[in-house]
Amino acid sequence: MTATLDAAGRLGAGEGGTARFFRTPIRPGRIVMWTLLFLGGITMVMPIVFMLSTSLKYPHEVFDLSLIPQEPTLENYIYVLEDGRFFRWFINSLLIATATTLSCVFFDSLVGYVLCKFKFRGRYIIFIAILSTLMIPTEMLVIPWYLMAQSFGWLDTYWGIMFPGMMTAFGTFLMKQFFETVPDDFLEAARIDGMNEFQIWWSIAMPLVTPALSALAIFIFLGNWTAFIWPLIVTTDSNLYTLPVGLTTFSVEQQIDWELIMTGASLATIPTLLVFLFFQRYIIRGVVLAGLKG
Amino acid sequence: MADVSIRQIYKQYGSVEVIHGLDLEIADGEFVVLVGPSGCGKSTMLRMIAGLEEISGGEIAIGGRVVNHVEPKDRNIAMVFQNYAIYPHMTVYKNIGFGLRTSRLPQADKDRRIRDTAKILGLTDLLERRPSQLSGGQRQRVAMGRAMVRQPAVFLFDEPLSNLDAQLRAQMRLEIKKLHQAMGTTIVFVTHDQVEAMTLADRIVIMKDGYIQQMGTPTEVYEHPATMFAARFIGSPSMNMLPATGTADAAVTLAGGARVPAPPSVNGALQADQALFLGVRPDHLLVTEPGAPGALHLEGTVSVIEPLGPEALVYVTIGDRELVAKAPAHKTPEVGASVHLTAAGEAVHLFDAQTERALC
Repeated sequence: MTATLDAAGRLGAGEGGTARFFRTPIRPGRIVMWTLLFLGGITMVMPIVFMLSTSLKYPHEVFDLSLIPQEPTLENYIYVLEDGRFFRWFINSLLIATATTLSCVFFDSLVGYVLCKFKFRGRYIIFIAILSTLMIPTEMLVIPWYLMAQSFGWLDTYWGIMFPGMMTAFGTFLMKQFFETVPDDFLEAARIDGMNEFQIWWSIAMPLVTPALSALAIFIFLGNWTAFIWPLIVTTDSNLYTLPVGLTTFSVEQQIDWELIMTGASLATIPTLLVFLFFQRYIIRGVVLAGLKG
Repeated sequence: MADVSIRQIYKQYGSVEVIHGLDLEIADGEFVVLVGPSGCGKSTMLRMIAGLEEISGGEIAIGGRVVNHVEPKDRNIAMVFQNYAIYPHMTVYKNIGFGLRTSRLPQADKDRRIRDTAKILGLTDLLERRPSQLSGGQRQRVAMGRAMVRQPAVFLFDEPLSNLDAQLRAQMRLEIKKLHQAMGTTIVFVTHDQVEAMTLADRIVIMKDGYIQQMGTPTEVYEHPATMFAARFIGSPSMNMLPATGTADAAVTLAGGARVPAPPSVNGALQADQALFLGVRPDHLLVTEPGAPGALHLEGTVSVIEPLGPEALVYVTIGDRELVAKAPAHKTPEVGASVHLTAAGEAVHLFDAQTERALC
């Protein structure tokens, strides 16, 4: 930022500075925009605030809609954390989200790379076929997945929970778009230097798309961390429940322990918050580039 | 080191043929520059030698071994790319040493070779830096280092200087020439810059539309261009061209009626009423006093002056054509002045208007 003197000799900030910001005339359109953004922000934040608030309340206070608990307590947290099942579900979620993330990073980028950098007959058709699967809603896939899992004996197994997400069309598309940005010269130079095609992908192309890999890893991790429908359907053994499925066991036919559900949900957001805090710049860059390319 | 033989090479993309049966013999240790405008096929030729592009017909041999179906890594070549292609996630040391990763040399020997190469290229102090911390010239040197460290039989350069500014380009040109003189390795160098071609090459290959227009030493192609294209492409500014007609008495007449005796070398080839182009380089077309000795005499009006320091380029309008001549800086005419231009008989080139080939 460059400090500048205005015509009257007063010191002000340069272009983009705070002084300029405050001098900008407030137009009606801007007020409408800020209002909409504010309302959108409130809409996003309020459920989280209620979740945290409810997790600090006693059962009798749950349906009191005040944001600040009258008698704040950590008893819900102690109860949930002392319940061995919560820890087990947490580990299950962590294991499944990590394994699917690693798998997607590997296979999505490998397929994306091949579709981007290798010229072969039918390449475009394969790409379109992969993309077209994005248009099929998960609800439609659940039955075929279930039948497949049943016939292979994968019901009530970790593999049964993980297999539909081990490779994604979205990830393949994202990585293909990113590999477009890698100049062919890099790959050809490596080819001349004696690397085989797998080594070129792994040692040269992959490090050059690290931001995309990070963004993809975050998307996949979060998607699997919060996945509910499929893990609910494919598992009946509570030892295999993921966290979102396990949290539903706090509600039974006659009673729903909202404070415990909200406590578990609050604890479950910690990893996702950490992931966002550490990698948000990669997410933003990944989304921007995926939108710009191709 | 090795020689390179290219025999009847064809390249097709679908039904489009872009290289039309070229022959080129490159001697062991020779510095050959492929030069031509964009789309002439020079980079395709280089990539076919490298093995990055399959050939549609013909044969390529390196060091006597036909390499048509040999992988790039097994051709004993190294290539420097236009965009350097140095890996941004690796240090200079790792970039230079990259070509040795698959080598079976002991680690100590690899290290020695990397450091020796870095020393030759003046990169010793930069070995731990990453490409983003280097200038354009330094990156170019790293790219060359990565090629050199493998000690290949043939170096291939694909427009390696085109991303550098003019000053750095001149400096790197000198360094490449020194390296070639020191190492004596066969080099095939692609460029669209005729100055690079002239200054670097032992032999220039001028290409257009997938055909070789002319091959020869820089002096040969400059002094004896084989085609109008070669005449115009080599030399800056381009050779002046004037329409002319052959006469029965070994002379040509220009469109304005001026008569120019044909150079002795074309006497046998010149026919009466033959449609021709008369070419003369700006270096040889001088602003003189009327009556100065010479074979070609023209009158025109100065339209633009471009001072170059010791001399100036003088743009002269003659009828509907504009010619470029040279004048010493202290004798530069004014814009709008009428001037007399003269060229010696041996500076005049004649080209058949139909075939565009030089008469000889």
